[in-house]
Amino acid sequence: MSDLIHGPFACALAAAPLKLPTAGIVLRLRADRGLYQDAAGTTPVASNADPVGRWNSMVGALYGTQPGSSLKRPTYRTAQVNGRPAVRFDGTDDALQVASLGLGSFSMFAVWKPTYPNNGDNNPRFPIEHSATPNTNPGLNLVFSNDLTALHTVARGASGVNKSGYRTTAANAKDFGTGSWSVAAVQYDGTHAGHAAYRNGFTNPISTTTVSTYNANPGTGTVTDTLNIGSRNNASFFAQMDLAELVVYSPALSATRFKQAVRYLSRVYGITLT
Amino acid sequence: MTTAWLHRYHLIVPAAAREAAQSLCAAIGPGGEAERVSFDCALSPSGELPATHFAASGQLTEAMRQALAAVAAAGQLPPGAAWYRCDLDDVLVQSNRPSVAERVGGPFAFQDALADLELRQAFEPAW
Repeated sequence: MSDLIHGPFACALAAAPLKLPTAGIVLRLRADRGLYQDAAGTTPVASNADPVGRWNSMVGALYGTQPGSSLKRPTYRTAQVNGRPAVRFDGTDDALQVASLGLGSFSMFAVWKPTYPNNGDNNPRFPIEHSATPNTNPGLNLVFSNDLTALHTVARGASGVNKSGYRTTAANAKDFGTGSWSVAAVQYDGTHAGHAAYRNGFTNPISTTTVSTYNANPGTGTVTDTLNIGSRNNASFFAQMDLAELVVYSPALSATRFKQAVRYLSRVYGITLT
Repeated sequence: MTTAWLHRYHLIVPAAAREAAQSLCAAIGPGGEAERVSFDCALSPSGELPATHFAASGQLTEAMRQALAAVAAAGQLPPGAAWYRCDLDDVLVQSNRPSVAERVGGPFAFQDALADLELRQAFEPAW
């Protein structure tokens, strides 16, 4: 490993535990903490298959919630990845929303197992979207597209005019990963060149094809809006996935800290980096 | 400890009965009127909008199941409603659809309900 340091201090440094960077976390959802069956957060999740109406962030006061129908709540599932639990979204109507999340530049990490195509069809699905329709509004989305590729887009400026977007190619096996647990990571520093997505690593971006004319440098202006988990606006494009952890930093992490976060999550969840 | 939400239902209604289905959810669900936002999964035979049907899929407690069963026994389900009840392992337990009677006791997912009704999820353009 290239980042081992040799010499008299090597033993002490090698023994230091790997930690998740803490500076700049704006949201951290982990499936073994802060789950409630109801949106108000009065009845804790206690058993496998309990519905999840509220998911509190481990940092700060934000939370994901499904304020509407109990049928639209994802469910808590025990022992899904390396003995740890996950929250399951059924791909039919399950969704959570985090109100008023502010993002400028950002780093986002998801430990998940998406199923795509879900429910037997190849239509696009939105596992993550910050504000609706970045075509016309500032925001970001991660999308499983209907040609079995994955794409991610960030937009800023009035009417989301400045857009940066990438997609994987159908031939590229390094998509966001379907049917297996992976650490998905997105880095955005305000520029198109500094916008990249990774799966189980931090060296080779999974998506290198610019989407259409989405090659602007959107900048680091903060957008404060709803973070949708599992859908567009709690109303459509529902994604089928198990989600064990979601961590969001703003501003974006340094390259060193980004790698540290990927390594930490891969170790905790027993996911091999490539 | 076992969850109180023992039953997984897939519920599909014709578009004309969507409002009635949402009212039923408001009547039997723990959230009352907040439950009315269910049935937002649009369906059609072609996968194109406009939707011909709407679906909801989720878990019910035993009390909710009994309430739903009572509505069904009284003949007061929304017209054309199809329901499929599964256990937490997604094994089909019961349905009002004779076409899936032979599948009781076996695996049954939401896409199986769609296949039974020859429907597909319908979407607006994403971009």
